[in-house]
Amino acid sequence: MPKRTMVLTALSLIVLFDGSLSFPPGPAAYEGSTPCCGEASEVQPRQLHLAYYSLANGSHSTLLLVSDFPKALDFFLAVRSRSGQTALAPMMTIQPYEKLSIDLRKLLVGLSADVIGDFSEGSVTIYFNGTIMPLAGQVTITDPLRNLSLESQMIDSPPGLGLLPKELHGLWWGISAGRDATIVVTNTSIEGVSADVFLDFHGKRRPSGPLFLGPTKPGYFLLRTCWASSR
Amino acid sequence: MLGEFKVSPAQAPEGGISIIPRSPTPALIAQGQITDPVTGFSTTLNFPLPELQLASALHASGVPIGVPSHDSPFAGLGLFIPHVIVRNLASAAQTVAITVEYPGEEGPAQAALAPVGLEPYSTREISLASALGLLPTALPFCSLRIHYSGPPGSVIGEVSSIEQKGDLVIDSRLANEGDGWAGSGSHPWRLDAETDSVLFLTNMGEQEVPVLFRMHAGGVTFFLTDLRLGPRETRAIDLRKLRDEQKPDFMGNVIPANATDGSVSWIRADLVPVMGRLVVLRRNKGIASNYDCPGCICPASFTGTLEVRNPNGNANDYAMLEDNPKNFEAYAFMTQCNTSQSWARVTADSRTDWKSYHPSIATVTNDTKSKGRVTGLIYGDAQIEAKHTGKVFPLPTCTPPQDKTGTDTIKVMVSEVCSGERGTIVQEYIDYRVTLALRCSFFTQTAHSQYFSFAEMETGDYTWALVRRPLVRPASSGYGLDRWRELYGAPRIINSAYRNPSRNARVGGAPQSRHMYGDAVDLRNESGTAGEWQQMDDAARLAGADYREPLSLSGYGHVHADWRNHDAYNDFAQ
Repeated sequence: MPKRTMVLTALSLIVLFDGSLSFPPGPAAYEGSTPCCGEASEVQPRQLHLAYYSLANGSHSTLLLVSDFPKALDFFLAVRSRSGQTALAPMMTIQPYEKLSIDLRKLLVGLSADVIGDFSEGSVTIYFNGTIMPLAGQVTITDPLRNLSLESQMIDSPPGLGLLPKELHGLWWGISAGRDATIVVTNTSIEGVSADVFLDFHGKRRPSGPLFLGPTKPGYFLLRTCWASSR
Repeated sequence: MLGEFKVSPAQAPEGGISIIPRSPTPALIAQGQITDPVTGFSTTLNFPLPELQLASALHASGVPIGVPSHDSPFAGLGLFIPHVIVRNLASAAQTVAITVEYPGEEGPAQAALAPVGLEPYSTREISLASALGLLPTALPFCSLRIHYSGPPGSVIGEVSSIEQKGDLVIDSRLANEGDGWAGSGSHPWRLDAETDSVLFLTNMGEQEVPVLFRMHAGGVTFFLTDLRLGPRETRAIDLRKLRDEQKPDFMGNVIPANATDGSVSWIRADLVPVMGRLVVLRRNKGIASNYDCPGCICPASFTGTLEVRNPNGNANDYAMLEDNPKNFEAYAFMTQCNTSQSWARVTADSRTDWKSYHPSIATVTNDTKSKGRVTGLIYGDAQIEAKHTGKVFPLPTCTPPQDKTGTDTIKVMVSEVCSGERGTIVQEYIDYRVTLALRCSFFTQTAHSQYFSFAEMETGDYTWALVRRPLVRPASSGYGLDRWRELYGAPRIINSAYRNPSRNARVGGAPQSRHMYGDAVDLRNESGTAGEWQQMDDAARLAGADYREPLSLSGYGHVHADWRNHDAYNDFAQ
């Protein structure tokens, strides 16, 4: 194993804010209350959320999209920066059963986004009209020089279907000198969201101060704050 | 940086984080990662959907363990030790029991590890290094079942297999056994000199389960129709091997030999929990990516034409199937998205009853091995019916599965076997999916009308052509080509009449162009003027043409007319 040269470990919780986004399908569609299994198979505005991409430190982020739909499907792609800014790409089309590979760095450079600074990491949302999940996607983050490979899992958001988690429970492990641990939280709505944060370690649940993810004030929330307040 | 937290890595190498929104409307998503920029160690941290934690057991599929055997997708990558990390979300202690499931010599085998305790609100990393001694020397892969004693959803976890020298980490996302659709849907794959793609499927239940598998590449759809998983079995489907075998599926399709990208989708076809994941391995760079979806994708409806061989044993001996517009997947299964009740999925594998209403023309088998296979016997059309009883599978958070019964029919068109040039032409109709069943006697080398010779009508590649009756009817019949000519009132030159499918494709004809059916003619507009074009079009209308190409399609160079609805569709002139 190569000798580790870094001795510091970062365990940070990055909070990505969504700024207000006036874009189809719009907030009304997203916040609809279509009951589960009621109209979910109908064509309606839908969103796919990918929690994280990174171009930082030489990383490559590739959005892979596959269509399981027998017709061409138009979609819009919105990239959100760390500060909550939105870079909206022109409408794209995916052909039936096609696989699209979108280099997010090229895309953002083409949109004149700051890939060195604010847009060096963030989240991705895809908007389209369709039946439930005709599109599947994933952001693969790689750094071939350092053999890093990470995936950003897709979360589908048909209006009212409730596939977004009501609570977020995760874990970390293998933290040691030289390893970075980062947890990214993204607010997918255009409303501010308050949340309680708990850290479990050493057999105890430690409540932290409430977390507010608003649409207007971008910023970071570092886990060390939670950690400090929980001790 | 951790120093600023006043907690050293050694003090809290593992732990848990919970974020509970105060609003009842879900809006937050999260993801984490652990990376070591120096060694390349990288692993993804997931926040599983609580709504999918419906059972007190988790499963990981396709986990490299030990030194993988030579037939493993992970062969040559090193020595792997799986690590299971579990977090107790509950305030009460519980136990966790890990079972290693692996392919044994006589089928799926299991090795149970000693249960371990999990204190309240604690996170524990469990190395499976000690399990290697319980297992055969070299395994291609294994699956891990993690059963916990608390209520469903009280434990979450991660599984990462770490190569001991290079810090290559292969994550195996955990699925809850109550989420019987875990990972199903569509996934992107890649194959190149450095990259392999392997789909792992695990039957998490105690019954055999059929799995529907579909692979797309280069415009080709390829099916595996005999895929069944035994209880607790994990199957690795190496997409490179599948591509390189060049073995046709039941429709005769093969994955293009040079395909490097595409998508693969799969779905269980019975009420047995199945999980799967696609692993994309970049061998030289030590990178492994997982693809799986947190929910399910409703499979697309199948429409199109099918091709079956008829029983004479001749490789060129084909029949044609034409699918009706209904949602339908022929052969051994059907899937469809139910749009009338809900978002749902209907499957009907072994419970489909197939019947031919015209068994003297085409038969359909009902036995397990070749269920749904249609065999053409003689020229003609036959109706094939499939009655299916399947399950409507709503999302896990929705209503329970319900039985659903339906009936679909397809029209089968069986062509006759011809020799020589006509045999070649018939083959083109099959290759180009032209939905016309042919007899050898339909072809002509002499048919002509009063004004137009066979040589003028034969605008294909061969000496034989199809000429339907309207093209040779006398003008006095009131319709047809000669009537058109007379109504126009002057000689006309045929630009194009009969085209064999290959020729039609080369000249950019429509996929089902009537020129291949022998009832379409393009007459030249000699002056190229709008006035002459309009006069010719008016004459075609008066000559009863069933279809006239609009100017926007034809241009001023010619007028296209056909008589597709006149005379019997199989009334060909000789």
